Amino acid sequence: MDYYVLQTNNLCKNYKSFKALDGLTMNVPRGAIYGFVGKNGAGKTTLIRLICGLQFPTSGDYELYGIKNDDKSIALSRRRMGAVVETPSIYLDMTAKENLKQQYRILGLPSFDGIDEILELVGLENTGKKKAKNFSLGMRQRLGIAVALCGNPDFLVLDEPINGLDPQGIIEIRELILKLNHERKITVLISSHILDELSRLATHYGFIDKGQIIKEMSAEELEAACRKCVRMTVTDTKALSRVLDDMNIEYKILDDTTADVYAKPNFSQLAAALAKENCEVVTMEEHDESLESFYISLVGGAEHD
Amino acid sequence: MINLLSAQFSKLFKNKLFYAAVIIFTAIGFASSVLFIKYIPDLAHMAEEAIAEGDTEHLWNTYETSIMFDITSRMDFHILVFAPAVFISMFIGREFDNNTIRNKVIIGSSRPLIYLSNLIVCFVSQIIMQLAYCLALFLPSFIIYLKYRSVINMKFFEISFKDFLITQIIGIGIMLVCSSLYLLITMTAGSKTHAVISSIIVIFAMFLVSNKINTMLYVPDEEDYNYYIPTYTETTDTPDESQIPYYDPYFGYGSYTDYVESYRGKNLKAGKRFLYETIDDTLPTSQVLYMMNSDTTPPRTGKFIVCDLLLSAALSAVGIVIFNRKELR
Repeated sequence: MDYYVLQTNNLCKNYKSFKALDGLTMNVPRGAIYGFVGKNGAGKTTLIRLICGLQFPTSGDYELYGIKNDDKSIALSRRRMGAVVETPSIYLDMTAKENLKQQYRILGLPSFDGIDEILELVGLENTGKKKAKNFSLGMRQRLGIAVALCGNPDFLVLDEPINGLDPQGIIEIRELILKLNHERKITVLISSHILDELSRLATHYGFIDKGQIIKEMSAEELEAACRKCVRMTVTDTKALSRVLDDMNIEYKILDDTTADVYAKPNFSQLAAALAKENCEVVTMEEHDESLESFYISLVGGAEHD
Repeated sequence: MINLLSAQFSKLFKNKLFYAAVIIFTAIGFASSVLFIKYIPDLAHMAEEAIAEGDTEHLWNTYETSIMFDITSRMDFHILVFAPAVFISMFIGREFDNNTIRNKVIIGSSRPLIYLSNLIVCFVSQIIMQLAYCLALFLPSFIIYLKYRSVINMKFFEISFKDFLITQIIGIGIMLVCSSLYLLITMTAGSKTHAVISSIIVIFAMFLVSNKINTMLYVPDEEDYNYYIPTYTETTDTPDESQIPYYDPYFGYGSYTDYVESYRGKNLKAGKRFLYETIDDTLPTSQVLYMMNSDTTPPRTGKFIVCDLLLSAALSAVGIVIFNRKELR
């Protein structure tokens, strides 16, 4: 059984002279909620269009459940996925139930038995004869997800699902995604530029900029990278290291003069201990890196490179 | 394919535009029928009065008329090509506007099958509309025919039933080509509005080309002018038994259609003639003009049907290739 649901290898997509994807390589593990982070125009939607088969790569390839995109049996892999790309693909003159029936027919499912369950799952069970054109943005989004859930997929691709939603709508979609992941074990690839919201959901992250993945990491790794700490600038980090070890305090040396200290020690005692080691404290500031600042530092770093 | 067809047909039969189109076709059929037969009750009344007065000597000559259902059914052939330009563009174009076409592609449905299922549904929708038209045309005419055929001399079919069926098959061929053409335009345009505008422009352009080619085939170029084609009225102004039907010393007896047909392309040089005749036989708009203007079964029916099938296959092949490479949003 493949560990990865989706793997891309050096994927490129050009629109005339514009490179939307420039050698993108990423891996979405089975069971993950993979947060695909990037600013507008970074290439998130382009990647999603490629893996959904809506567009074709200029070069490079990708695998869905271990099957390459140019393999004819990729159609079977696609049967296992559902997607909402940008706006939900729904018939506005149909009710929620009729929309799902239509998708059931396309999938060739023998009965409409699962429809009520899906509607209940996305919270649209009481919409009755109301047409989708009269739905709120959040309801449409949930209906889009419901359509994507027809056929019982185990890989769900959601492109900016909370764009334009009110706070209540955002909470509903978040809870729905978590429920799908926890209860139905659906792997979710979710793209967004609302990083704070993503940080409440994702188990894995892929940071994209200018069509390239600049960093792929798990939520644990990101948490460690964004941990609250005191950033100290000292004259000698070796001395600082000895003192912090003696005090049994967790830390991370960044360079010869800077270190992050992951606790709030007694700073008088620390300063005194450092003085004994002939080490001066130059600056000391609380450092709390959010996902956003982490992303900015990544993108900034990439630009600097 | 069956899944896609099931989904598309289900959508078609829930589509308000489809029912609106069927109603319009029915109304046109009914209106054409009524316009054509409205004088018959008066004529029958006059015939009855004549019979009552004992004037039976010239009855059948005076009160002879025809319903000619077969000819009437060709009078509105142009709606076969105009109506689907709007309907297909809107019905299929909507899938691009609301992006529901993506729902098929994402789950791995093959693009050629998506295309073909759309073609089948569009074609069937055209046949249903044409059936509605024919039924609305047929019923009032047939009722009038049954009611008054004993009083006045009436024919329901001008040509044989077999020829009538051939005419209808040509109609189906034209519908197939139109479905293929408008589907190609819609699947390429990728939006309802663009598709409607493009389809209408294309069909108008095709009518213009057909008219032009038709003129070129029957009216001599100055440079190619080597004989004079007399007009039909010029040859039939003087009542002459030999000219009813038209008698041409060279081509012999025949109807007006035979007469016109006999001159087709003879004013052109061989290469030019072949080119114009091929275009004229192939374009569905030329076939429509021909069907609407002729009074008999077209002599080139086999060619028309083959051209329709070939053109439809070619348009569909092009459409599938384009849609297979089309980048969806």
